[in-house]
Amino acid sequence: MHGIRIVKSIWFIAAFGIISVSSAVAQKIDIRGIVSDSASGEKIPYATVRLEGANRGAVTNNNGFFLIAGVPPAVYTITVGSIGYQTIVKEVRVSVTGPLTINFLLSPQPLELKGVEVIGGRKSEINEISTSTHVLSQTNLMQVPVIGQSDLLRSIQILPGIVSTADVSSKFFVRGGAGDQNLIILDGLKIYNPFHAYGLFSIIDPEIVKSTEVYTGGFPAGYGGRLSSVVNIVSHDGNTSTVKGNAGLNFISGSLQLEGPLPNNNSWIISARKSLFQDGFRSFIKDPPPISFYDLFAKAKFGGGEYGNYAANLFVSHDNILPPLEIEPDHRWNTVASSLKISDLLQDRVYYETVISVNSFSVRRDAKRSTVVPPAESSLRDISIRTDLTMYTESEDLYFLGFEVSGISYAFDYATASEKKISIAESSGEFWAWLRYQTSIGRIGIDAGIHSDMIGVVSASSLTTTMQPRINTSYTFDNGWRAKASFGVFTQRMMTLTNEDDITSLFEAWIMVPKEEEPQRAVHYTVGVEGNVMDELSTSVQWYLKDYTSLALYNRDKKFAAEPDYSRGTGIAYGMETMLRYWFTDMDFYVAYTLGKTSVTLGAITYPPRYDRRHNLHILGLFRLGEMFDASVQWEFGSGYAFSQTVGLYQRQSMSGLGRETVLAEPGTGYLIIGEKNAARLPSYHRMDLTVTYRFRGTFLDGSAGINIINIYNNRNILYYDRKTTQTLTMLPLLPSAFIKLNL
Amino acid sequence: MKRLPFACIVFVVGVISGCTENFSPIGEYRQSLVVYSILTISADTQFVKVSSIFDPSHNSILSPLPENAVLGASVRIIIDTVQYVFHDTVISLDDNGVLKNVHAYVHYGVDLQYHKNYTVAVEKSGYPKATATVTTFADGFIMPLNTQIFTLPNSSKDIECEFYFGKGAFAYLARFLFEYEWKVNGIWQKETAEIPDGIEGELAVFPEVKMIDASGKAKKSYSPALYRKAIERLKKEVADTIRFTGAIFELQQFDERLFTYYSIVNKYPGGSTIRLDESDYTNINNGYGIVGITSTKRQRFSVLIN
Repeated sequence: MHGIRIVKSIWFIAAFGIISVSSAVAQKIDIRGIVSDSASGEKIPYATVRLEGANRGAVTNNNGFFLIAGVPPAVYTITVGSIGYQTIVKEVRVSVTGPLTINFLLSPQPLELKGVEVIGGRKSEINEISTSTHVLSQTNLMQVPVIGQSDLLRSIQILPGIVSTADVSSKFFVRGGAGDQNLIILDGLKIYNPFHAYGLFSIIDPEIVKSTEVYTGGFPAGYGGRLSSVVNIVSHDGNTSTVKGNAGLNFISGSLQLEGPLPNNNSWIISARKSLFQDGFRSFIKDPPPISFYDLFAKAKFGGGEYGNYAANLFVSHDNILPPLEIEPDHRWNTVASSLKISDLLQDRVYYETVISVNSFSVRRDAKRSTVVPPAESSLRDISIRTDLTMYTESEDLYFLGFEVSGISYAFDYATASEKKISIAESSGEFWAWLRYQTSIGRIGIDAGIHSDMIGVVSASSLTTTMQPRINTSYTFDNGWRAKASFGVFTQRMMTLTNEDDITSLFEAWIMVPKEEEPQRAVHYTVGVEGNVMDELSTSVQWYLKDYTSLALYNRDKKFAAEPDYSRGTGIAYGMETMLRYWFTDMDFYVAYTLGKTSVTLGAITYPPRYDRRHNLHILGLFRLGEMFDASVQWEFGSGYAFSQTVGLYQRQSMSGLGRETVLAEPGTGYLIIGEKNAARLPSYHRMDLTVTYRFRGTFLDGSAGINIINIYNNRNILYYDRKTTQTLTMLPLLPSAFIKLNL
Repeated sequence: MKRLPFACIVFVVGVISGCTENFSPIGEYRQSLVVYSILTISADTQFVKVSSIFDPSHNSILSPLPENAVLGASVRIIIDTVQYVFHDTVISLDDNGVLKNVHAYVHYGVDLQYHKNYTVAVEKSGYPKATATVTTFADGFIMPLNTQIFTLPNSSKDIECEFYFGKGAFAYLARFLFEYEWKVNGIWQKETAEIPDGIEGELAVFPEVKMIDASGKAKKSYSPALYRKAIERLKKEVADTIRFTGAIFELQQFDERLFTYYSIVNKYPGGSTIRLDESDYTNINNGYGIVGITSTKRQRFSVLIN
């Protein structure tokens, strides 16, 4: 508690100037409160609170908190609503006696009235101004047909601008960015390896997810350290009134989630998953080695005063791939992360949230007796403190201040083919600070800020990398249509060591771009327009340009050991994204199309990266078939990914003896000659999936069960061509599966 | 009207789902020559090995590849207006006790001069002409510092030697060898054994090829403990009836392109890499392989002690 007082004190000093100005206004009252779920007590984020007649309003934050500052005393009608909840309309009298606290309990809509909700259907404050922003609820995540079990990172791949290169991997690429350019955050914890074995599933169980914000570009000043995207996941807090839960089973794993109340309106939640059926992996991988995984999430939330929240999180994930043959290496992954989140009202109009987190990730490859793959081990520890401060004003302008300090230590041990050991062990840090301002001037909405690399500022690095401006603007037309534009500069120091031509990579070590070198850098530009074509049809179109002014790429000119492995390249990604949503009472259609192009330049060579996809189309239809059945159908089309063709092979000599006789004596070993880098294209990818869900509710048992059918028409999508075996490997064939979930 | 979008979607899905695309993982195959040659300044006999790449449509890298020697090619070394024409020949090599025939092109009278550009040109009908130009460099020289040790029993001094590199050379390998004889069936056989640069644990660390730095020279020293241990091991592993006859300092020099090829193909020896790809290098225009230059200098001292 002493520490909390210190945090409060620091912020009080920092924010004093602005507060003193904004709170000096007399005879006006602030209305504030919490919006919660009446059944579970869970705080509801992104709920809208409207003060009818005063043309004022607010949107709740992740803790369900809202504040409407400086309301003249009068009688108002307040309307509070959120998707999936019954709207509350209430009359309130605002008098001059002080801040008015009103908490709202929203009742979930009965299932039969909910209709179906498709991704992109939910609106929030953040995407009224921001381009490239999507907010997904748990319902969204569970509705997208996926393989085996619902999966967060697979579900977000339906969003425009996001592609995956394989059915068997939930690794994703955003607007031409590499896989390590995505920042994934769970309750303030950075997740470095979000995948279970082979990338088949993400390690975050959708059952624990309350909401997910996905920024595919131009993300606001509060986020940094990655070039392409942010996936910010907020977990459930747990039920404050009763113990409940659910158990699920599918052909790969089983899961159990329990939640319940603690004294004084507090709550807990615990969720665990474990792989159960080895045979289930045969659907994904031919002759899979023994794979096992588990993950565990636990959270306890305590209230502290009227608006205070203290939440302690623990997240553990572990994976093994342990082939029985001694010549095949073992792989083990481990993530242990914990955090403490403190949020409260600091002053009348200042809300803060501080997250202290410790995250440890390791991956180990035991080569056993493999002569092909050397042993390797990588570990990373990240200890961070992040604080966000929101300041509310009478004009409804919002100020966001914050900082994040991370101490990162990482180690990488690797033995080369010649048994030479490489050991890297370094400690480094990141120190970010940001200031963001959100306002509206008439029809124009502005969300502008600056994200600053404080270490760069201190070490007098280039201003173009240390000071990163971010701006999102919107203009609302008479007919409700909205035009948007955004600009932002982003840098990234952390990166993974991978072979950029690998389809899947089991061993990925995180390292940091050396301090003396400039970080990777990208500049995002986005413009777009969105609106309703008619009552049942809404659309949005966006054009993006991502200019990679500095990228760490393999140094293709490296000749000698002393020269660096990586050198600086540039890149450019641009394209157009279209989203269309068409809905009726019991049907909802969602169409997302992306036309994109990405290229990377290193020296004199320009090539498309392997994940460059020209066309990507998702069509998702959700249907309510009576009271008991739901169905969802998804069709995805993607034009072929770039790859390099084999154009020959020859007996390459190692010249290890370096004598002229060596030339005569050495037969050489087979070496493949690869043609122009990524100049060819794989065939197009397309697949249709179907999920039918049956909901049942009995006296003793309720829950849902259903079937998934993946790749209904059994299209043979190519995963990759193995140059060595000359075999073409295809992705998932027609694959039916079943699942059941029981509510406890 | 409401059904129109669905009809459009079904139509598009139906059309695309019914389409098939041609896909070839193998690109256009063009015949090319593979040329390997290390020309030496220290001798006038030069070899060039010429083979062809394989068509990936009909050959797998997982299967043993046959020798793909190109016979009847025109192989020349050109300097200014002078041409040396190589002859197609078969050389028999001892491959672990088995004679192995290797096709190569040979010329017995190419006396390479210092600091000259030599172009190796290989022509064969059906293949694009393969060429590579290399630049020769000057010989280096060896300066042992305390050779009296070889005649003094139980010396406690290090054996030291300085190697001076020839102008234009890019990389070097400096070695110290003992020349010895041992009896096989009553006949003394002559052999050489290399003295390591050091011992790490139980492992001997032998010299590696290194780039020449700006000083243009390198100094190496071998402690008595080091070479005595090597001698002991030799006696233990080879025979008790061993007698040492000479100590040899050897300096091999290489040109930049040959060292580059060696470095890249052998994954940057002498250092480390965290890269996971497999790089290639060639200085052959319109072909693959490497043509490089080397020179070897040796200095021998008689050893009077054992």
